[in-house]
Amino acid sequence: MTKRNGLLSTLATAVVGAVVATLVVSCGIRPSVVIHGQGAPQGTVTSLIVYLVDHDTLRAVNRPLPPTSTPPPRDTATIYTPYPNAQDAINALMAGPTASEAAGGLTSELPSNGAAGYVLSGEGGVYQVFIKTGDGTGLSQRAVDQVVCTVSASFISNGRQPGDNAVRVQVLDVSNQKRSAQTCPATP
Amino acid sequence: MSRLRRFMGVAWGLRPRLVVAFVLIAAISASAAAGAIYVTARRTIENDATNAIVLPMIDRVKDYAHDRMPPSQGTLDSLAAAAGGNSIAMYKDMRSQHSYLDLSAITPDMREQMRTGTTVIWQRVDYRGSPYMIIGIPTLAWQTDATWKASGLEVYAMVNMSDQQNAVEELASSAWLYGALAALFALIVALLAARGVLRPVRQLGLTARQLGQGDLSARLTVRGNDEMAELSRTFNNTAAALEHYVGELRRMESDARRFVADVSHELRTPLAAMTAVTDVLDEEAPQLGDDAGQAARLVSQETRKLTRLVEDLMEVSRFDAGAAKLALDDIDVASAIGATLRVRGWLGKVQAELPAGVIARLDPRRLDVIVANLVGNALKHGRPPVGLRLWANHSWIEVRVMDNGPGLAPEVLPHVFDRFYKAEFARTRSEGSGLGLAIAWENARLHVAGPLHGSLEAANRPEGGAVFTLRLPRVVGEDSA
Repeated sequence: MTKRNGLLSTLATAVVGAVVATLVVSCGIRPSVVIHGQGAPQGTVTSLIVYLVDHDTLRAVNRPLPPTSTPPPRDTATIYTPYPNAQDAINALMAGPTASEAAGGLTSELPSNGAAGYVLSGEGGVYQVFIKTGDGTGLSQRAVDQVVCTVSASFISNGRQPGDNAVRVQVLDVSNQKRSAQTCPATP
Repeated sequence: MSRLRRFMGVAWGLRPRLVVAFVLIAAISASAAAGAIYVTARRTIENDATNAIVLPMIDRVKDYAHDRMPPSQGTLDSLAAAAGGNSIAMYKDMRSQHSYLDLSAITPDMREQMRTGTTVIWQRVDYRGSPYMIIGIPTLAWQTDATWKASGLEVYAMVNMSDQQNAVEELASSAWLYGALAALFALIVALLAARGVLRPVRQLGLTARQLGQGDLSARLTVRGNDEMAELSRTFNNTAAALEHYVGELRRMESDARRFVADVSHELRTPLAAMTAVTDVLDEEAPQLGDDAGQAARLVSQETRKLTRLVEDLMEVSRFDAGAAKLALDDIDVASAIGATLRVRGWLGKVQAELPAGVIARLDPRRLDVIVANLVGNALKHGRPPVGLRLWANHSWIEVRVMDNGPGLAPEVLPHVFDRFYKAEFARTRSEGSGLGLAIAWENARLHVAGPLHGSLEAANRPEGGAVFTLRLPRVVGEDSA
């Protein structure tokens, strides 16, 4: 007697459960929570990133983005600028630390008087940057690192890193000192 | 729950229980299968729709993701157009033009996750009664800490999911339909199974009842070779054994009774001769000497007792054989009982209350036998005064015979009408045959009028002494015909 009714009540419970489950999952497309999918598109440029020197180490700082891409100063209007973002970043780097950055202890080893940088087209995945200094002196290794990292960041931030993970940059200057292409030592 | 159980246990027959169990099993199986298929299929539909809508949209937005902020209005417009469908591109306070997407349809949660997250997100919402999917694609900007964070340029697209909704609803309704068909099928199967199982059970019940009502030849028809057939076979074997043993017992009993009847019949003729001889001996006894006279009287006495015993045995045999018949006559009961007492010389010894005018249709000989037996017993075993009271209403005659003796012992009462049962003189010689009360009882029971049966009962009076109550159905005059 008890056994039979136990079986029946078990059945009844199962049926109630099934009905409830059916009701819960029923009724077509239901509203959902926010679902996360793949990574969002990268490369929107909201600011410039330049690398300054903070007590012997490189540090990235933000600079406001100019409203439109600007050519390098002086007699550069005729020079073709293939990478406007990188060029803007080099321009900002050559301008040196701002007053507030300087107050925060940031310096730049790049010459400031009458110097200009030009981002040239790259070959074989290597970008070339030409730094023209006013007095014709060469660049220190740290200054080269600043240039390499600033250019790398501009390419990365634009979402166009070529092939390899790291952007390779060759820095040229008037000293005709031959430097090989390198990657940014500060970029992770 | 226990009430539910009682309800199920008591009020539910085997058939409803079988049907319910079958239907439940079908319903559970169908809903489990349909539910699983439904959930999986719905997820597939949702995922397919998502992939078909979201992935191309991300690709199209990607082409616009490399712009510098703030974007121009034209850039936003073309981004929204490129995303396709009902979409909107936003950057801070800027909105693409010609977008009809209602921003209130987007949940605050989604807006927040667009600001902080780094992935494409989507959410299904119910918008004005229809299912929609809202896709949010943020674009990411590189940060000085070498991470990607939301740039503020966002694209939202809103896609109507009504087609998918219809597909899912179709799925659901077909699941219900097939579930209902499965339940119906289960119902039919259950009814068939219940019929197959219950028909032999009902047959078994009917046959067992026949058997119980005395039809020992009732048997089941054995069909098939299953458990029910096995049960039927066992039942039949048991019934056959019962019939055999009962038949045996009946034969033995009737053999015994016929033997008694035959013996008493055979004894009658020699006894008649002996009685004639002892009558002569009785007359001659005084002339014989002391010893011889005593012996002659003893023989005469024992012969009379033997004659009486044989007569009683023959009477009992007639009852057993069903040969006893009533010889009914309309009589005045009071005068009949009075005649009985007078003939036996008991008029002075019995205080009889015999109201006159009680006319009934009875067998006077049997009434005489009963009353004589009861009064004789009372005089013999009880103490005076012995009382006799006649009482009657329109359907019964009641005669009570009371004495003032010690009454009947409780262990004697149930057996007082048994044959050869002698209470206080068990197994000792006495004048009675030991059949008197049994014959009186049979005589009382022989009086039957419609549903009314005559009866004879023994009891003890509260004030002491035994009381025997004879009740006979009173049938008056022509009613008896």
